[in-house]
Amino acid sequence: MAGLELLSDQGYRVDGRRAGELRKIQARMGVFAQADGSAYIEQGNTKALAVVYGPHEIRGSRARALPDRALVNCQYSSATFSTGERKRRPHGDRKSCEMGLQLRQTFEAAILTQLHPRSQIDIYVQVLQADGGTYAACVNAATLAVLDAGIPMRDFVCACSAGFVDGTALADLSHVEEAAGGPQLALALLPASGQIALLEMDSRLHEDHLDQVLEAAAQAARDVHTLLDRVVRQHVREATISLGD
Amino acid sequence: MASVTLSEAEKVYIVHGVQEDLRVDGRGCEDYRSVEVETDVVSNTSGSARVKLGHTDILVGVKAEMGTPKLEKPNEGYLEFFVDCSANATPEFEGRGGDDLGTEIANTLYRIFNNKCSVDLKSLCINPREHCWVLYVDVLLLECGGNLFDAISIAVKAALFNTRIPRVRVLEDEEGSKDIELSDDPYDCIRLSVENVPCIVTLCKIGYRHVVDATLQEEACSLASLLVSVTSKGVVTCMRKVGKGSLDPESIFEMMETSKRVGKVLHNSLQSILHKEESLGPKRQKVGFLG
Amino acid sequence: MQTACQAVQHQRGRRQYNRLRNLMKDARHDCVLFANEFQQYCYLPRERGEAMEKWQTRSIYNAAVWYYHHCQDRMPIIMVTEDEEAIQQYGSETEGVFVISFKNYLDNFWPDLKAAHELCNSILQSRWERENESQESHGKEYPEHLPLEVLEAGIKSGRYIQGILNVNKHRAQTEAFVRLQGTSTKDSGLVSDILIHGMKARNRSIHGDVVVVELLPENEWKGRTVALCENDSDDKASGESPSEPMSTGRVVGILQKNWRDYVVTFPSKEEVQSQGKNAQKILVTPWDYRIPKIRISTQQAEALQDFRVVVRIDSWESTSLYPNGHFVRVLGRIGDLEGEIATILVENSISVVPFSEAQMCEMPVNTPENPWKVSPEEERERRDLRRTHLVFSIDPKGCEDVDDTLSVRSLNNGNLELGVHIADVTHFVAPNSCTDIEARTRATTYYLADRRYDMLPSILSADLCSLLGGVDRSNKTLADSLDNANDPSDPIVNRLLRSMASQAMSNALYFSTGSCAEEEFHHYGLALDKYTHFTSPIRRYSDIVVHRLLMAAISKDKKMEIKENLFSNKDLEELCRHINNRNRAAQHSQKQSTELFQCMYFKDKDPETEERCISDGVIYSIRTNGVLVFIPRFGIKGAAYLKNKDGLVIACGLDSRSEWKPGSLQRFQNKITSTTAGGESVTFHLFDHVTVKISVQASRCHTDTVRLEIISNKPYVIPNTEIFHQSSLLLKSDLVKEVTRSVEAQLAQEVKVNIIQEEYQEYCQTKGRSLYTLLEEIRDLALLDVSNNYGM
Repeated sequence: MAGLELLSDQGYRVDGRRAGELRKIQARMGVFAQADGSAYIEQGNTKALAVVYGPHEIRGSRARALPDRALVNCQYSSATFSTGERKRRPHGDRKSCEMGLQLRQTFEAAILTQLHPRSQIDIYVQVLQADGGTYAACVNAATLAVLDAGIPMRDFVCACSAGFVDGTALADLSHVEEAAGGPQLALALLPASGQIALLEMDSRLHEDHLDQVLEAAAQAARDVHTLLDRVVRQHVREATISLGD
Repeated sequence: MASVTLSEAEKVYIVHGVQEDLRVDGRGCEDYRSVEVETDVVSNTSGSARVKLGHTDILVGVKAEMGTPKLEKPNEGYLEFFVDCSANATPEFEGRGGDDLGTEIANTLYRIFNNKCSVDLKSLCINPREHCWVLYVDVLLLECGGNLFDAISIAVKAALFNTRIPRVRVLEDEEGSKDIELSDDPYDCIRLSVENVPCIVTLCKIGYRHVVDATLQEEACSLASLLVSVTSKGVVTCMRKVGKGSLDPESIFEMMETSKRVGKVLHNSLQSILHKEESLGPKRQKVGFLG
Repeated sequence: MQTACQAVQHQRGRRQYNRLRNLMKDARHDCVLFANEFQQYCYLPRERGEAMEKWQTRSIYNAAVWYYHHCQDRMPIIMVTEDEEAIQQYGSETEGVFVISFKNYLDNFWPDLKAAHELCNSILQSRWERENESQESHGKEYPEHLPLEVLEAGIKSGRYIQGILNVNKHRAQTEAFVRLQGTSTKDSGLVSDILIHGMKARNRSIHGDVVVVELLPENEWKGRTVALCENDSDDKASGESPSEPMSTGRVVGILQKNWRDYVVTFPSKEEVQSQGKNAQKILVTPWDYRIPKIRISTQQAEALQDFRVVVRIDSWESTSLYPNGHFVRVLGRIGDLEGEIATILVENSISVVPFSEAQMCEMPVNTPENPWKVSPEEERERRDLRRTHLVFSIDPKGCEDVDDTLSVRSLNNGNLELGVHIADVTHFVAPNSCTDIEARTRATTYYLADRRYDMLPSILSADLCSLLGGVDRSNKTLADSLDNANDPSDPIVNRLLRSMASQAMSNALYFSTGSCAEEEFHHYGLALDKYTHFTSPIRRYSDIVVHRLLMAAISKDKKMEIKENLFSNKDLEELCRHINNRNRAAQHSQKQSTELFQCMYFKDKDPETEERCISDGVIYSIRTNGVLVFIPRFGIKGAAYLKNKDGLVIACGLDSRSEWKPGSLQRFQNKITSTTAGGESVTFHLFDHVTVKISVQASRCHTDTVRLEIISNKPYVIPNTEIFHQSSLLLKSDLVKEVTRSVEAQLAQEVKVNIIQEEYQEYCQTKGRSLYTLLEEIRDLALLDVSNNYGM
C-alpha cells in the first residue's frame, strides 16, 4: 500500500504496537507424538511448526558421517497457502534452500554435536502462515522442538527481526513493514552468553544507526527467551504431572 | 507410503485379531478412530481445516483466486489440488521424497471431484469466458499414522465448507470495458454447498476380512485395499484398488456395501460437527495446534 | 479520532487527509489525535452486514463514551457529525455525551463568533445548492475528466503531459499555457510550453492547477498573440495576426487543484439584473484577471454592492459554465486604502495576524524598570567588542530593524579589518518555539509601500535584536581584510541598462545543498560559485536557518554537543520551497502596493491642468503597436500605444504635439515609425526621451492601472534640473506620504516619525553621490516594474 505510515507521529505502528513491542507469542511443545521432538509457535499471525528427528544413523551415504560430531540437517518449507499470494512450490526454491542453510548454521552453533558423533539430527521447519519474521519464528520453534527431543544444547537460540523507520528502530516486523522496503535485520542470539549465532541484514542502513537496531533486536530476542523459557517449564511441569500419576 | 517394519509375529497377531473382529486398539472392523476437525485455522486463506485422525494430521488450505475459465467449460470455475507431503511426517519425505505420494493423492482427488455433482462449479463463474474463481486446494500432510486418503478427504470437505469467497460486482463501462469491484464488507461472501462432496473410505483387506480406517501397522499387514469415494447420500462416485495383492470380486461387492454404510455415518457426523462449529460464530475459541 | 481521520482518507483522498493531519500537528491549534482503534476498550469489531460508515460512526461514538467515563464524567464530550441518523440514534443515549451537528455546536457553544457563523451558513447553503442542483441536469458544458489511473498510465506512456497551468493575464479567456514538469520534456520532444486555447480546452482547470494535457493534431495548432493589449474580455483577436503556430493541446484531467482564497467584487446593480431571475446566485468577479467568475449564493448581494469580499471555490461541475463557491468574509469598501491593502495581502496569501499570547510569553523582557542585560554566561562565551572596536550602522535614517553593523579597524600591516556584525536572533528564538513556527510560516518581513509586517515580534525586531546605537546587543561577527575601493558615477541610461540586465536574469532561488549537485550551486547575478547570505535574520527566515547551521558547525568543531534541532534534507527542501514562494509573494505584494499608491496619487489629478502629470520619459523597448517607457522622476515603467483601438496612429505635428490620424506603423529592430495616410511620419528610437502624460484607468473589479500617453516626441524639460537627481528618490517616498496623508486626513489620524540625530554628527556620513546611494537607486528601480501590466 503506497504511502502507508509505518510509524505514526504518536509512535504507533500499523498494527497499533509501539516501536519496541513484540507481537503476541504462543507456543506449544510436543505437538506430534510420532516425531522425536516437535513444537509449534505463533508470533502474531506468523505460525510455524518444527519437528526434530534424531539423533539417528546417517541416511544416505555413509561417507558423509563426521567422526567427531553429529551432522545437523535442516529443511525449511512454507505451505503454499502461507503467503498472501499462493506459492507454487513449498520447498526446493532458492529462498527455502537459503533459509535451510541459515537454520543449519544457527543450530550447529547451539547444539552440542560432540556428544553424538557419526549420527544425524534432522530439523524440519514448516511455516503455516507467513506474516513477517518467518526466520525468527522458525528458529524459535526449532529451539523448542530440539529441547522437546531431548537433544542437549548450549543455550536457547532466540531470534527476532528488527527494522529502522524514521530514526526509530522497530522490533519484530510484520509482513507489511517488511514489504515497505526499509532496512531489515534478523538476529539469532544465545541469551545467556549474549553471543550472536546468526546476523543478517537487508537493504541500506547508515552505520550510525546499526548500534540502535542491533540493540533493539537483541532486546527483543531476550524478551522472546523469557517467553520460551516459560513455555518449556510449563511443558515439563505438565509432563511430570502426567508421568507422576 | 510411509510404513513401519513389523515382525512376522506381529503381523500374524494383527491378522488373527481382525478375523475375530477385534483390532489391536479394541475397535471393530467398521469403526473409525476418534476424529478431531477444526476449521478456519489459517487466517489468510479463503478457507482452511485441520483434521486429526489418530496419529494422522492433515492441514488443508483453500485459496480463491481470479482466473480465466477453461476453454471447454466457459461457464464454470474449477478446482486445483496440490498435496505436499511434509518432511515433518517422516524424514523420508525430505526434499523430493514425498513427491510421489503427493502426486498420487492429488490425482485421486482430481478424479473424485471430476463430476458435475460434487461441487457446483457454475457458482464460481463471474463473467463467462472471461473471469471465474479458481479454488486452489492445498493439502499439507503433517503426520502420517495410516489411512491418509480418508483423513484428506474429510479435511478437504471441511475446508470447502469453511471457504468464503468474496462477492464481486461487475461494472460495465460505457465503452463496454468491465471492471470488477470487490465488496468491502468482510462478511459479504458466497459459500459453497458441500452437500454432495464425497468422502473417501479406504477398506484394507486383511486376511479374509476388510477393515476401515487402518493404522500404519494394519496397513503393513494388508496386501490390497479398495478406495471408495462415497457421498452423503450413499452414492459411489469413484473406486480404486491399491496395493500389490489382488481382490476377488465378491469381496469387492461386500466392501462397497460396507463403504456405503460407513460413509453415510461419517458424513452425518462430519456435517453435525461443522454446523456446530459454524453456529458458535466468531466467538469460537480457535485452538489450532495449541490445544 | 483515528477512525475519523481514516474515513477522510478513504472518502476524500490523500490530499485532504494530509491537510487534516497538518492542521492537527500545528501546535497552535491544540488538537490531539487519539488512536481509538488501538485502545482495548474503544475498539469495536465490525458486525455482519454493517456498512463501513455505520461502523465508523459507531466506533467513534463508543470511543467518545469511553473517554467521558475515563474523565470520571466531569467534562461533557461533544461528538460533531452531519450524519442525521447518528444524531437521532446516539444523541440521547448517554448523558454527558452530546451528538450534534456542526451548526448546532456553533449556535450553542460559540454564539459570539460571528465570522464563524457566517462562514458556516455560507458553506451549508452552497452544499444544499449543490445537492439540489444535481437533480436538474443541464447539458454538459465541458467534457468529463478522465479517471486517475488512465491519466497516470497516459503520462507514463507519453500520451499525456503533466504540467502547471499558467493563464495569460491579458488574454485570460483565450490563452493559457502549460509549463512542462519533470522528465516529460525529454521524451515528448517538446521545446516550448503548450498553448491551451479557449475556455473549453481548459476544461475547468484554474491558474496554478497541476493538469494533464493531451496534444491536439498539428492542423489544429494555434499561435499566441504578441501585441500589446488591454485586458479584454472578448474572444476575438484585435485584428493582429498571431505568430506562428505552437504546440496546442487540451486539458483532460486535473491532478492537483491549487485553489486558494480569492478576493472578488460583487457586480453592480445593473449587472445583477441582467444575470437573471435567480437573484440568490450571483456571479462575482475575482480581482485576479486569471481566475474565472465564481458563482456564489448569498442574501447580501445588495448590501455588499461596493465591497470587496473573500470567497473560496468549492467545485466546478462539468454541467456548469462557472465554478461554485461560497462567501467567507468582507474585506473592505472598493477604493478604501485599508481594504485594498487587505486585498493585496489575501491575493498573495500573506497572513499577518497579531502575534499570539503564547508567542509573547516566550519573549524576553525589556522595560525601563527591568531592562534586558547580557547574561554573565553569555559574556564569558562571546567576544566583547564594546570597547575595542568602532561599530556603526549603514541602514537608512529612521530604520528600526537594524540587523547589521560594520566595524573598521586599521591593522598593523596597513590593511583594514572590516568586521560585519549581524544581530543574534537565534539566541532569542528557540527552534520550534511558537515564535519560530510563526516566523517560519511568514518566512520574511513584508515591506509594502507605506508599512511593514514584521516576521518577529517588535520587541525583538525593533528592540533587542536590533543593533541600535548606544545600547548593548549580542551579535555574530565576520571579520575580513579589505583594500580601499572606488565608487563610480553613472547617468540615467546606465542605471536603466543595469536594471534591465538584472531583470533579464531569472530570480535567484533558495535551495538545499543536499538536493543539488555542486556544479549547480552558482549565483548567476553575482557571478559567484557559491553564495549564501545570513545578514538579515530579523527579516529573513532563511538567515535564521543559516545561523543555526553555523552554530552547529562551530559546535562540531569545538566538539560541543550538537542540539538536535537541525532540519533533514527533505524538510529543508520543503522549507526552501516555502521560503521561495513567500519571497515571490513579498515581491508581488510590494510591487502591487507601490502601484496602488501611484494610482491613488494620480487618480484625482486632472492630467490637463496638473503639472505633475506630465513628465519626461525614456523609451526602453519597442513593440509592434507601441513602446515601453520609463519615467525616472517617479520610477514608473509602462506602455505607451502608438496605435489606438480605432486603428489610428500617432502623428507629431510641427509643434511636436501628438494627434491621432489614420495610418500605419512600421517596426524595426531599434525603432518604430508611424506614417499617416497623409504622408507625415515620426520615428521613435530606442532610448529617445519623450514627453509623457500620466493618467489612471480606473476599474471596479480589478486594480486601477497607470496609463501613459506620448504627447510630444521631444524631451520634457523642467526649469530646475538640479532637483532632478536627488528628487527622484525623495519624490517616491513623498508620493507615498502624500497619499497616506490624504487618506489619514479622511480618517483623521496621526503618524509619528522617529529620527536619530546624534550619531550623524559623530560619524560624519558621506553626502552626495556614493556607492551606497547608487545601490539604493538600483533597489528602487527593481521595486517599480509596471511593464507586466501591459501584456509584454
